[in-house]
Amino acid sequence: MATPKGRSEVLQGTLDLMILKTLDALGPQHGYGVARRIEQISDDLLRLNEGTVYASLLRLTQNGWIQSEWGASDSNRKAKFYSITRAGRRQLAHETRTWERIAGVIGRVLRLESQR
Amino acid sequence: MARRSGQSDNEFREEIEAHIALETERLIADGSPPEEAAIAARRTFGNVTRVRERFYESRRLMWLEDVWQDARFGGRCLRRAPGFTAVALLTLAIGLGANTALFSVVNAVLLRPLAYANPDQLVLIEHPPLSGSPPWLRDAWRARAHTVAGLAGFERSVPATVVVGNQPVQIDAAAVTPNFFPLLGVTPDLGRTFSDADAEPGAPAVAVLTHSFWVRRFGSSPDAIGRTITLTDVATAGESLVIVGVLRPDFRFPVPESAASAPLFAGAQPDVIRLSPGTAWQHVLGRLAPRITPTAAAFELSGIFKQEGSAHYSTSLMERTALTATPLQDRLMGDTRRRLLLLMAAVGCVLLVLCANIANLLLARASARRTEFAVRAALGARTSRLIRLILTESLLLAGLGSIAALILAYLVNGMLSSMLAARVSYVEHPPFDWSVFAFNAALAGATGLVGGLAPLLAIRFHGFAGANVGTGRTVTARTRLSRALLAAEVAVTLVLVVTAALLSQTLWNLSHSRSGFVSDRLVTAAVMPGMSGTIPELQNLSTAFFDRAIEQIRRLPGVESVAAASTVPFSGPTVEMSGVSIIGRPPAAGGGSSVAVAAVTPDYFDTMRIRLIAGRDFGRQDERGRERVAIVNEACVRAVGSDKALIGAQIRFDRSQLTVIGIVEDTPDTSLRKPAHAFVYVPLAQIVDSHFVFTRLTIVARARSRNAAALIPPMRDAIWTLGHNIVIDEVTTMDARRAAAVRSERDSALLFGMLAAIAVLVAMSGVYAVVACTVSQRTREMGVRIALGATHGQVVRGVLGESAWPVAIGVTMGVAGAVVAARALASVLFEIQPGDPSTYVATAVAVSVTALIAGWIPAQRAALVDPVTVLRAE
Repeated sequence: MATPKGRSEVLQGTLDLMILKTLDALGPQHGYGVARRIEQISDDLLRLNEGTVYASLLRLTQNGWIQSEWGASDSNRKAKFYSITRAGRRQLAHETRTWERIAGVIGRVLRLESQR
Repeated sequence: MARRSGQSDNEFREEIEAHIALETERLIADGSPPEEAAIAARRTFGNVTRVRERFYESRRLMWLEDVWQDARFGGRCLRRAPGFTAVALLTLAIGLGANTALFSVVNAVLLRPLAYANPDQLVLIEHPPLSGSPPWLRDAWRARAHTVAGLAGFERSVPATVVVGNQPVQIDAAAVTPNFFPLLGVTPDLGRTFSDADAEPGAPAVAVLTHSFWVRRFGSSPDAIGRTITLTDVATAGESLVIVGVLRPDFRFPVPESAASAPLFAGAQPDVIRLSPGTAWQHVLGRLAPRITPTAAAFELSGIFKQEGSAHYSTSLMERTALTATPLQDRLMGDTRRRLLLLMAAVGCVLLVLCANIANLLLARASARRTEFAVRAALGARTSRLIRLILTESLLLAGLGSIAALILAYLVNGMLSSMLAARVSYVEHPPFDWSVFAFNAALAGATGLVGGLAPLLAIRFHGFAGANVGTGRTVTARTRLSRALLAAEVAVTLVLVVTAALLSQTLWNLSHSRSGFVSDRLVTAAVMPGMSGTIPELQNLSTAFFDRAIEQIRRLPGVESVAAASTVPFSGPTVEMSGVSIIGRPPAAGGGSSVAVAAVTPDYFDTMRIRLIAGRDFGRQDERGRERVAIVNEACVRAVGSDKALIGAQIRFDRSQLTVIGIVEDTPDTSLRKPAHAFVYVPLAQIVDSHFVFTRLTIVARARSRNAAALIPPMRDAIWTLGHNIVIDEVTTMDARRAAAVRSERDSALLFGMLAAIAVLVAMSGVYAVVACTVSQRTREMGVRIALGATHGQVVRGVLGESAWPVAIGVTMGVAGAVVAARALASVLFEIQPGDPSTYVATAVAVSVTALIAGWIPAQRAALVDPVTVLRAE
């Protein structure tokens, strides 16, 4: 709630991207698993409010980029599993390109400044 | 949308729980003790409620959920205030339901166009007191009138028998001139209608059938055309008619209201229509020339009448005659139309009262909920949210009320149509009109909205600051509005009650008016033995038959006396003959026209207990071959213009010469309102010496016991022993006939009474609600007053005094309004003036007292307030 509007937008977008990538790379996963994976990969630098993860998951589902169905977890507990859809893969590719482009531009701008 | 995402609130909660459970497992696996793990897992998850809220908010159909929530809340609120809800729903149901039903009927009846070509050009031409237009007048009109494009004549339907195949069938037969159907622009369904060739001397007598008769009796068979039927009625004996055509199903024969059917024989639509045998047209139908108004036509025709008439009538008669040309639609509806309009106005009034009451109730409730709204606003509800809350509740109320109203409307519609169909001849079952219902529902919805919004707007203006304070600030805009509404309700209610009172009094007066005979324990039956033959044969046969029939019935136990007559009070239309004149004296002013004839058996006046004013009754000596005698009634004496006793005088009556031997009291004809018809009574035994033939007589019997109706089965059996071709009809008690004669007055009084009662209930509930609301809002003030020493009576009077003011204003306005409104009733009332003071005074007092009682009950509660409790809560 403390995040100014602009930052939360970026954060939202990147979170969507990370979740899509996670699901793409690691296959169907439940919400807990997705959150765990992202934390692990970021070496615990990214401490996510799990609530935002679920909000993301819902948004992605509503956009049709991921789909869900109920299943059983490893410990035989009922959980909802998410998997990426074909549209999601297309979106992932698109977002990745956009992100890399932005990252490249920002990087060049930053290198520019430090030269002076 | 929500479905597609497959998410629901419950599912999401499950998912979160699963997540937390998995985290807990992981922490346990990492070595934390279980309870700590659970707490830690939950903590890591973050604010579950906030997540759920965000999830909840992100769903697209948020607003629909809101409305549903508001509706459920509204439903709970309504359930918690059952009194208010019941009153509001009831008022809505009754108001909407009755109004819709009535409007549907009125729409169908008043606005339905006649199934003729250019019906607004058609007029009915009448010239009371003359009935029937003589040939010279019509010729003059035809020759000289420019305002009418055509004139046709017709006679209303009378009961008759036709023999179809070998079966005698009771029907109604009407007669028209050859140009009648072309003038109306009516084409037949089958065959043809009449042409001038049919009226030529020597041409075979022809007839057309109405559609329903053709279906019933001829099985819709096309070979009905060309078949012959034999028709017998009062003036015709066994005439053979060739059927030349069948009319369309939607054809309606014009039946002018005042001449119409007696109450029992509703809407005498004829079954068979033949060519008019008479030369005097009973009714004249005209088609106006283009762009001519009825008034202009009446003016011209009247002028021609005055010019030509001086050669035929006396000047005093000419002066008394007023010629009118009335649009056919008006003439057919006449009285009923007026009554319907009155009814519409009354229901409109009730609707006003209902709307005012609902608005008032909502105002009262809303003001009671000011605290709730203040709290909601403090918790962050936007004004639009509050508005939506109120609107939803109002609409819920309106919706429920509409459903109840729909059910009620169906029932009332059925009741009204059957009432109406019995009286207006050309209307079928009016359909249920959805547009009217929609309008009324919209009106109710609008009322609900306005009533609900008004207090909210008041809150917006005055802020919520005053919400928690029960300072008893006595006069605010809201209170003034509430009181104004109350005054309006009371005023309208008073108008309705006065109307109902006047109509009830009319009904009472009519029912108890003198009728010239004693009707209790009388049973009547119209009997038509199926006979055919020449006129003399029929005369003999019918006289013999009825003599035997009377003998049979006289022998029945339980019969005090019995007689027969060709027409009895409150029976069908009378047979009018032409004038009566005293031999040896010049014809009276007025021509003694439209005198009716009735054939009676000797004991008739005795059985009916009709008073003999002068002279003697018929007796055994007045039989065939003897001197032909007659008894006349007072109206006839007046019509003839005789101030000297008529006894012993010879009169000329329709080709017969009769000696007057007695004068009897007047008896009603079809209606109790109209002055009695002039009658000439002749003995049945002497019919054979005349050219009258009566094949249908009504037998009247006075029973010994109170239960006259028990006499009916034995009477029927006795008659049927005399033959099998006998048609017995209209078997009923005279009391029933008499009741039917005032049926429309009774219906009006009943309907208005019901409406007035509803209005009173509603208005009084309004008074109750307003006072109760005041009391509940100012309990602290009451507590303080009582604590300061006010007595029970003082408190009650104080509370009552507030509502007394609007009631008093309402009553005053109501009386004034009623005086104006009652003038519209003038034509419908009988023996009572529209401005009758006692009615107004009684009504004003009654309404005021009722309002006082309605306010006194909640005022009592004010006085019972315990000051300690109230002040402690401060």
